Amino acid sequence: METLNGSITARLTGKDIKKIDSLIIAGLYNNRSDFLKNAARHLLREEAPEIPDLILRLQLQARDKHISKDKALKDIRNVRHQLYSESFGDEYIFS
Amino acid sequence: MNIFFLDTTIIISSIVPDRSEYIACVSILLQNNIPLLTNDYVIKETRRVLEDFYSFDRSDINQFIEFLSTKLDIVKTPSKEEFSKIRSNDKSDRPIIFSAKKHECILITDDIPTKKDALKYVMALHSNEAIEVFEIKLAKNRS
Repeated sequence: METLNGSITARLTGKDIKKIDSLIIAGLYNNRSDFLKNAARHLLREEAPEIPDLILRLQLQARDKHISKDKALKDIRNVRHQLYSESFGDEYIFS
Repeated sequence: MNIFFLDTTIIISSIVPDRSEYIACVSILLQNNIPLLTNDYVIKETRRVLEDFYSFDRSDINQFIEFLSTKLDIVKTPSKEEFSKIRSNDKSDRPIIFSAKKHECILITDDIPTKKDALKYVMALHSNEAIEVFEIKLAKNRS
């Protein structure tokens, strides 16, 4: 997997820097960079994700094809039986 | 640490906006708090349903599978010997239940019989239950 590392420069107010420094002195973070890294992680977790265009496009196609959830569950079950027989050479599905 | 093992029903339901509950599936797939896992068996099923049953655009399917590989860790399908000890009403569910158990995951599935059988071996939740139990934020459409 590709790893992307990088640094970001942020301009903060003196008041915020003072607060961050006091948290560093209190031992909660190693340094300012450590604080910002934690803050970014926290924010990324909190933010509700947006549905990417690819998924929206696939959803539109599914709508056009009138695929219902019940149909999808049934079709997945059929494919699972096929795939199981092909992969494991077992004709008997129900034990 | 909690890890979700996603069944094909969750992956496919994330792109089938039939009922409001699809949002639960897409939110599970997009969240970044809980690591996601699945196996090759589920990925093969997903591709086959989209290609052979629904004839989705091939390049969109490829992109979707690629997207899934960035969101989920995909482990190998277990061998028949490995999953032979799993007892399930439908034998074809065993590779899924076994992988979830082996990797100590919580199985997320919207298929009621699969969930029922899986509960003998692992924690198993419906997508809506997972949203509630783990307080997962619901994904939103770009405004």
